[in-house]
Amino acid sequence: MSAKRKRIWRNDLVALVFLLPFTVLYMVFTIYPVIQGLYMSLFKWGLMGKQDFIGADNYTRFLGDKFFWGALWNTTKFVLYSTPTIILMSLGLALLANRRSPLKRLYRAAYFTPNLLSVSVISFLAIYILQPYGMGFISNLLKTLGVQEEIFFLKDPQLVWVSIVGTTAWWTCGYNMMLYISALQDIPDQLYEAAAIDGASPSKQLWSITLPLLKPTTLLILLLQLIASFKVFAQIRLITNGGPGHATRPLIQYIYQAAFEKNRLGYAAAMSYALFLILVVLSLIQLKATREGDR
Amino acid sequence: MTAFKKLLGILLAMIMLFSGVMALAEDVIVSESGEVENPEAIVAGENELIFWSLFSGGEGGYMEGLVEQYNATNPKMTVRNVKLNWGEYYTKLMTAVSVGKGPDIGISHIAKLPELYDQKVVTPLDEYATAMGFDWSQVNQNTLQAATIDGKIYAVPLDTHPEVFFYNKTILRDAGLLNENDELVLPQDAEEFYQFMLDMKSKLPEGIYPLSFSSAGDDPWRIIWAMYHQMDGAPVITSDLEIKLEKDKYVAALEYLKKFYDNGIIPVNLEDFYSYFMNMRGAATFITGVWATSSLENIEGLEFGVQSFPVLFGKNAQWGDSHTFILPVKPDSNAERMTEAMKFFDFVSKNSIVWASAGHVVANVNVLQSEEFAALPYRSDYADVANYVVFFEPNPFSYPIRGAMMQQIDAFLAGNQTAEEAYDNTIAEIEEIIF
Repeated sequence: MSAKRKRIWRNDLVALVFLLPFTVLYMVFTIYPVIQGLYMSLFKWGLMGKQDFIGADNYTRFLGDKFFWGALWNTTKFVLYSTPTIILMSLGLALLANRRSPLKRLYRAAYFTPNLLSVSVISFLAIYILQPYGMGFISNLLKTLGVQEEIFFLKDPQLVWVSIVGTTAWWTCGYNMMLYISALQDIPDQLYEAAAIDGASPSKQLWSITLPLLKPTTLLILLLQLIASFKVFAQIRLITNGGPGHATRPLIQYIYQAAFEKNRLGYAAAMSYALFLILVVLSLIQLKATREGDR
Repeated sequence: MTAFKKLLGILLAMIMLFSGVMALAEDVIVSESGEVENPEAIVAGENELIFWSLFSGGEGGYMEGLVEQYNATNPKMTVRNVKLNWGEYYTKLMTAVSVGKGPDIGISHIAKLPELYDQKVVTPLDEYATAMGFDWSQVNQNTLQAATIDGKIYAVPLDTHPEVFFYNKTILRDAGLLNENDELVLPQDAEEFYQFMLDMKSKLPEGIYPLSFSSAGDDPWRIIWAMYHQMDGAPVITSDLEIKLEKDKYVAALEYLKKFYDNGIIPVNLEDFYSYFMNMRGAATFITGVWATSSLENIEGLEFGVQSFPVLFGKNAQWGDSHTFILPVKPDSNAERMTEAMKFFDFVSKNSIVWASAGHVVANVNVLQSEEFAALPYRSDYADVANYVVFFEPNPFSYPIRGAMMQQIDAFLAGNQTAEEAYDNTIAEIEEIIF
């Protein structure tokens, strides 16, 4: 064996050793459950294990389950409401935090901080803030200002979405803001200088320079956000538990209830594959889009 | 590679290996409120029985006391009380049992028992009860009936906890609504009761509501359940999984309750209705489970009375559930351990006067008839409710069905659907649950 071949072989071995821990964990915790889930979805499967083989019954069943479609529609609603909200808010905050100001660092830190909190913390903050009858922050504030009317943020079918989407946006837009800020800093200063010399107003500069150059970032955030929003569960579970009624119950909560409240793990697994399909399609679009962006 | 780097590498490898080994010997994590987060990490000693309980707060203290009392009698096997969070209790119990890591002793609500039976989580008790001479006639026969599935007994009833009616004596006395015995007498008729509460509203000072009650979750469902059965409604679902919920009666019960919110008797969408009564300036009366009794007793300056939820629709029927002791399936257990566990159940049942202090109506009939029980304030005011409690007909889906009924009631009380829609959606959901 030549010295060169030996070195290559050695390099491969080293690489393998470094990759092994991740690969093993990835196989055990991601690939295996995916395959096991597919297997389970073909059975009537209780908490204590396999019961009967029923083929595709679980799949045909959820296609006719109006609560499945209701939950999927709620998830879709969340995606439709939250994605534009988060993108616009992150962009706005990034533009604010990117201005020349002595408080620049403070802005960034302040906008980013909520992102560091755990989902249970932000959920309980939201619940506290939105409680009626002078027990919550907003209600208390309104009482102090002399407003007698009570607003039931978590009971009204429209306001409850405002509450959930607002909380989520406040919680997550810091991260996207950071992505926007780094993109903003990549825009060369000469462009603005040249535009200023040509007499372009700041708003003209925003529309003709900043926004077009942020397009790839916006596309990236849009797709990441779509995928993240389709997986919504924890904050809704904690803030409204899917209520009032089932007005905000997302698909993952319905899957969770099927598995752990109704002991139908096979049915839950089958429904998970519907969500899986949606996420796969979105991920493929994302891959394609980022590849085109790189070109 | 220098010798230093090699040494560093070996050191790192050793640290990783060591921490890996440490992770196998799992530490027991206990929350601030004394609940154990990973109960499966507690392994029973040879002469020790592990007991997973779901009691917290006041109740938890009384159960802890009973366990200590039992251990002080020098039994062959002592009992170790492991408190779990109530919201996670059944999920943890069922998943732990499914992987063979369940406890020796568990608690089940009577409504949950058929599901645990269906999922093969519980062991029949008959053999071990006979082995230690357990006298089944000492417990409430109504509840025992519900603990019997396919001719075998799966649980030892500990108590019944119905929904009852509390009232603030100070507020009502000032409003001139108490009788000469300083008691509130409630009309036992739907229309009269409603008028009585409306009248109370006009007599109370500004800002105090007649009734503090939830608009969501368990409590509205419980009194809907009671009122529906007071109208002699058919079982929501039979043991043969036939849906028998009657539309006209169910809708009538829903609409009757809604009137109380719409006309300012109950504040709408109140989230923390316990505090609203307990702060002594929110509401004059309060409906919830008997477990609130001991909390109310501990509030300084609160003078209160309690009575059964009124019979509004002719027949006396109440909501209630029961805590029972169970033996979860455990592969490494044996007859001796289970017989010892039965001895613990027997001891707790005979000494459940302690448990009555928590507010519950105990299942042991001898304790219930004892002078000590009669001497407990408040408890005797609702002790007979236990005889009128209507349980689910045993079926493995009681909990999810209850959940579905609750969600639809919530949406109805929040004004997002009519009573008829609530009924139709409830039926649709139950059909989806039992397929």
